[in-house]
Amino acid sequence: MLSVKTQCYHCGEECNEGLLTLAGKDFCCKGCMTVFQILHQNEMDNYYCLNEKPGSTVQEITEEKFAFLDEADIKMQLLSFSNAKMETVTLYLPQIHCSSCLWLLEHLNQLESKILQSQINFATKRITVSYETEGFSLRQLAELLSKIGYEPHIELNPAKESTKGLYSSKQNTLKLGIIGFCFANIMLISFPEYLGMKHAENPVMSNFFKWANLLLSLPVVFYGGKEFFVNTWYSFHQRYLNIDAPIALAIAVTFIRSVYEVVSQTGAGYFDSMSGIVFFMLLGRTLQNRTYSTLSFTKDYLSYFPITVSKVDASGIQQVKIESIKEGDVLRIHHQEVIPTDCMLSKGDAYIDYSFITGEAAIESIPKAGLIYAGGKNAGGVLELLVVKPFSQNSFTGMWNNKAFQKEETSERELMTTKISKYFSLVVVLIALSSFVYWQWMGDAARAWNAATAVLIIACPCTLLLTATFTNGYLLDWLSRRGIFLKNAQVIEKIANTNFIAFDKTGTITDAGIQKLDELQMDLTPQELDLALHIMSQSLHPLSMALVKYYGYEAQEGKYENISIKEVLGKGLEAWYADQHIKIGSYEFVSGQAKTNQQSEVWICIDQKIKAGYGFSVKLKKGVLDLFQKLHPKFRLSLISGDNNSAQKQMEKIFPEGSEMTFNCKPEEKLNLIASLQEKGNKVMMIGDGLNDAGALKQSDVGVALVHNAFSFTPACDVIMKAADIHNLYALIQTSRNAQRFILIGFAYSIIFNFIGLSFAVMGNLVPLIAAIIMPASSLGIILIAFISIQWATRKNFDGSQERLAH
Amino acid sequence: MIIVLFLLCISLLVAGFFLVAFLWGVKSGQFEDDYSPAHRIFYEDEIVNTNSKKTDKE
Repeated sequence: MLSVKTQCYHCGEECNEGLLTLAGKDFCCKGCMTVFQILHQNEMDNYYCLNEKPGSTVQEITEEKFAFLDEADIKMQLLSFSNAKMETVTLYLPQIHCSSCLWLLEHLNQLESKILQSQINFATKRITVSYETEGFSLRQLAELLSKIGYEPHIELNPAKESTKGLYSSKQNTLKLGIIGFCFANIMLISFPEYLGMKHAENPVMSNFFKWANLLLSLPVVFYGGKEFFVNTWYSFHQRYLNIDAPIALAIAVTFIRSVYEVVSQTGAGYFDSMSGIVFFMLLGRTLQNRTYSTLSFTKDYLSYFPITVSKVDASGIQQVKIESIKEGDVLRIHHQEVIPTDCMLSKGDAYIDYSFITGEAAIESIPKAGLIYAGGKNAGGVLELLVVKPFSQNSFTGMWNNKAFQKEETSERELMTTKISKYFSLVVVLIALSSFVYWQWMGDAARAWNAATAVLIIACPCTLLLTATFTNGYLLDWLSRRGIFLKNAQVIEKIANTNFIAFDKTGTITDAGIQKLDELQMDLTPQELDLALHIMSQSLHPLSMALVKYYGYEAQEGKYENISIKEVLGKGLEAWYADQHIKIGSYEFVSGQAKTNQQSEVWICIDQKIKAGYGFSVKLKKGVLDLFQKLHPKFRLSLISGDNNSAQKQMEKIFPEGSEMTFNCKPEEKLNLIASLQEKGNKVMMIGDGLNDAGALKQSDVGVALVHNAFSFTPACDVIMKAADIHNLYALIQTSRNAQRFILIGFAYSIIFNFIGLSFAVMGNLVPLIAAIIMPASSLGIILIAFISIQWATRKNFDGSQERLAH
Repeated sequence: MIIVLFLLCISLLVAGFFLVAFLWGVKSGQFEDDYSPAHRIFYEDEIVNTNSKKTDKE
């Protein structure tokens, strides 16, 4: 009965051939087929010509999902323009990924004539749509987009990234352009000086060059260098010297001495070296501090919950904001919707998926009047729930009051580069002072000033910082193209220092939901199997649904008349058809004999005879075994799972002997486990995917959040990567360690140049030409070293680095 | 030799012109999305098509 596997014409997902076909094309689900149908009818097949299998798997949405967009005040928050006739809105569509998307979404008016214009911003994955309001609405727009596979992701109060230390990219590009312009022109104008033009030979020209340089250097110091001075000022206020302080000092000293030389007609100054330093520093920081416009590392739990929920009262069903839910309200929750607060079941058969909240893989069935906790997902049909606690007091929000969430970020003070640069600056200042004292003692006051300032100019720790910013910057950029996103450059160093890795189970090592299905016994005739599948297709129990999907069975109305089916909650299904008595469910339910086995199983029993059995076991993620073999010798590993210990045997096989494994962990317990590991002096990396890991991710030194698709919720963390890419973890750690070593190598390289420069400087012989050669030679050398070494490291550690995944 | 000063001023002016062009480009958001405009030009025919549809209606 199983058919040949093929790929869905729309999204490329593996599916059964010949099961769902239209116009000779195979589809994996009805959603994908509908998209094709809509596009085909509107002569938009171009979508499939531009790229092969361009769609993303369509998630079916419930009718009321976007009902909240009819509320006037919610709408007002989203619209960017509105008048009596038309409205303009910008929506975030995380599914946008190729030119087909672009083409389709910019031709929306072929699908819906009320849409006047639609434009995509590919970088931010946002669509701006203008539409006529007569006979069309925002809700219909959202539904139309969902229907063609681009469900908008709507957040009313998007969590704002902390702007401290982050760059507005536009401002930054402007700054780079202006400083680059000044730098290049100053270099050009300084050339006659390098070539030995004497002031006495041509005083007019020489003066002109000097003053032009002075003029051009003003924006460099006061516009480009401003942030160094400002940061230094702040760090003084907090009573410590940050990494910007020595740079600010070097810029200030160089500028003042250069101005003095120009005004007093004693020399040409060091405008070229100074503007070079500022320019390269800014360039490095731009590279390192790039932000990802589509990602957020600081989300809180609120964004996991829906914006509104359907409330049932005497006047019917209406959409209310979840904050305004009160005790005693009755809510209606559809399939796949999140339970907003602690409730009591009043109507419907409840199957709740808590995997995201607790890590438990098995779906829980709730008896009538049973409690359902906030954050669970409805895996069954429509439910009606009675609210027990208002949203602000639900069991779930409590966790966010834990102190780990108020924990301050590790400041840059503890980082390697900061530490090195502190000692480096100290040494430089000492050398400057001693050469000043020496020349004073020798009775050469002019030379004393000359030597002291020259030391500060030539030996500022800029090159060291350049090494760090460029190495980190290249690495962040490379990783982001591979779908691994780091919160900031400091994370690289933290990854490199890791010696203990803690894993979550469900969703991290194993695939949540997707279970391996084993046939334990199979004696059913095709007719019996068909009947059993028909019975199971009437149930919303996830295991029945999995089996029906496994066989690709489609229920036909009226095929089995007079069949009576009874669902015994938490046990199984019982059915009578013709003279057959069919029982489907747990072994205990169908045979009456207890069987102690934690594994989920489904047995089919016809007329007291067990005919078939299926075992569901967790499926390991691709590459996990290999990853553990690589990690095992270098790191201590442990498992912290919120699930029960049914998978312990399977886990023992992949974890090295003696690894700690903890099951049935509550979110707080996970957090405490990580904290106790840290107390023992471990640098802990936590890898998890669900909200139940949120505390542990936050507490750990490096929190790695795995995402299952582009728009899934990620808890606050340091690293975001695709769940399917977990096998790259080892490569990530190795590359980070290599990067740390490259920074040291670059540092050694820059010290060589510093020594050459210093030997001139302490003698009081530093001429602008030497400064002008040393500065670019060391800066450009550093940039080159950083680039080549990162290329080499990523090629060595990541396999198939040529294959670049577009984000 | 005064010609050198003159030429230097000219070259600064030319460079300044390009700087202004760059600033304008950044400010008007031309560097923000480098993917869609490059692909959009391929759909030109159809966009004209839909535009004409719209004007037909009006």
